[in-house]
Amino acid sequence: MVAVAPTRVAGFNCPNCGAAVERRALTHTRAVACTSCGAVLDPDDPNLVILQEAAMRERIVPAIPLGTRGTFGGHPFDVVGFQYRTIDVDGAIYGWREYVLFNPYQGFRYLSEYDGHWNFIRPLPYWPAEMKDGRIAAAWDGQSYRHFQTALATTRFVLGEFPWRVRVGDRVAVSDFVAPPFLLSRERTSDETTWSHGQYMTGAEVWKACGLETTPPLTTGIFANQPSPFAGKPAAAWRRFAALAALVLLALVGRQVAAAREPVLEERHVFSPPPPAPQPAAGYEPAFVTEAFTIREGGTVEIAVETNLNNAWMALDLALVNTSTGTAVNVDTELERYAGTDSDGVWTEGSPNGTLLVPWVAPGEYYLRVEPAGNAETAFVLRLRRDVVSGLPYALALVALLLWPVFVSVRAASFEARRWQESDAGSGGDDDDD
Amino acid sequence: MSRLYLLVGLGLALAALRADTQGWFGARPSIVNNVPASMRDNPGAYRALYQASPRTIGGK
Amino acid sequence: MTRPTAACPNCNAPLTFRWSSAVQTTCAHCRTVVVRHDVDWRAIGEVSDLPVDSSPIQLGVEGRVDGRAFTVVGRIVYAYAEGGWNEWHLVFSDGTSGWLSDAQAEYAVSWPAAPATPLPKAESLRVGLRLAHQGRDLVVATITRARYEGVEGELPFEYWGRGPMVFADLRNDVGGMATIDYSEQPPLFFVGRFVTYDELGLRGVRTFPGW
Repeated sequence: MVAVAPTRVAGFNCPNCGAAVERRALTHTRAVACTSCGAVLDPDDPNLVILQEAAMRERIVPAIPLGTRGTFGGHPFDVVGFQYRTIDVDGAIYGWREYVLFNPYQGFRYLSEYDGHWNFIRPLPYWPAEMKDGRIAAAWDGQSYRHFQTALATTRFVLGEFPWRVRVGDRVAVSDFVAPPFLLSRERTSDETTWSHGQYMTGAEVWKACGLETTPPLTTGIFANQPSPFAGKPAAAWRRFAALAALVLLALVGRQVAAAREPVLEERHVFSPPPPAPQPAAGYEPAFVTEAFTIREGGTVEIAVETNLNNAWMALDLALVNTSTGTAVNVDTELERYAGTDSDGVWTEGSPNGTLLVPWVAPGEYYLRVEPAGNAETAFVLRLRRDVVSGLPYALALVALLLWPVFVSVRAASFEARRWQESDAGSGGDDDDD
Repeated sequence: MSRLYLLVGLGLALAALRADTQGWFGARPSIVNNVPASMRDNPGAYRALYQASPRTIGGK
Repeated sequence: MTRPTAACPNCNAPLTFRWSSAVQTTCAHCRTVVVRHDVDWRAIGEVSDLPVDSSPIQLGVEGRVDGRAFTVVGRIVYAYAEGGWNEWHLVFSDGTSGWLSDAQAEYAVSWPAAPATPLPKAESLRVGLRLAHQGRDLVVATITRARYEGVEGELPFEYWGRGPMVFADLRNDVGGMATIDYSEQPPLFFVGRFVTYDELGLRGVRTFPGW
């Protein structure tokens, strides 16, 4: 073979300060900022020296030192470069840090860090499909990514090697699209557009990958593509609710089918109110007892009262008396029915009918002792049925069951609301037309 | 947590069933014991046994 | 695959071939570029040292793409304003050719193809131009003015002494790519896709100290 490319690319000395400049990215390096004096150099043009603000070098120190080797996705990478970029949102400056990673076989990757949140980024050689329907834009590998933020990013400070001719002051329009834990990022200048794909990493994961002993930067807030700790939990909670609700409804349906609803007594009576004073009320006794009836099995007893009340009221004291034990279960009810007309039309108040549910009653022979009271002569019917279905407990059970999935949903939604608050759509960003 | 929810839910379903068959949400009765058989011939006598609380008069 | 041999017309050293259909190769001993016309090999020039390069790929590397095994038998080195890239000539076990483009460790494999719709003229090229191909649109992503920096190994055509040429790089939204090479009339069209280093399963790659 004629052509021999050397396997090691020699470093050189910084023309500004004389310090040795590393070439870890071999011939791929298009620009390198001297780590000693910060001067930006072109490896192909020794005369090119662009000085940077010396103060920046003190303020912005890479948390991962250049030259660190870390393992990501099963491959080793060297940290060869570092940059600090900022965006301006409604007058507030937000800055983030990026590390350039290099492997001679895999090429370049990037680690970005903002407020302690990390992303491992791979440049995409091609452009994902962009859709404009609704709020969703950018689809890739079958997943849809939602637009999070668009802003103008300025490069403020650089250190080490870059595979492009980076300059302090470079401006690009950055658009981020998220599908947590993933991120698609588009950077646009007037000359070109590049896309990259990012995956969220925690500081602990990055430090472990790089074998660093120090503490990673602390996190603040929720980052754009940070995975939600509650992801999938609402759906699971609602599935469990559905299963339990089905159980409750099954019990209700079962009862509707199996309940006896057996009529045990039906009697008609007429109540007459006492004669008005001062006539003596001798011999007036409104109370009466019904015929005896048998309750064959223990269960609830429904007492239904139907009256012909019309602009009057009636009260009933009812005692369900067991003939053998002599125990009486006492309940009472009041019914009224008033109607009239006024300027709004016809009005009615109250109901002439009512039902009472007597809790579980033992089987046996019973009679009902009734004491009515009222202000008008009223005809009424008493109908007793045993073992009726009461729907209220099932409704209450369903409401109680709802508490958990609602809580889980609110918790997950609140996390997402805090995430999106930082986006262009929330209060943290400015609206940017694309 | 989810196991607890399933357990509580099962309990609620059974409790609803029990509440329905036992009439837990029905009227709150008061009990009078030892009602004599003679009350069937004299229903007015029951009033002595059962002191009803003052009743609110219905209507306006 | 037959391994034809011939003698270098300049220094008489044996020329070995990995590919029977080679039209051009470089003599390993005297750096003469030889081309085949009919059955004779003729010297047409001398290749200088190739520029220092960091590609892990070299002649003789073997790999697979889409289940088909290939060997790297040749190379063209291009240079442009922002740097350079390699086009590695691949030969598959059935004797067909393909190209592995290698730019800053981003790789794509493509094959010569017949365009379904007429190719745009070089003068009417612009970024964003769409070309329909097999149901998906290819979009012009970059237009590059490049020149040769060097050649190496076995190539399917005569690549020597050419002036600067225009390339159009096209991409679709699912990792497919295409290249229009305007160095000939009519322009050459290659279609393929971006690949990862890992999926090529390369063997015999160059080693780097410390890696």
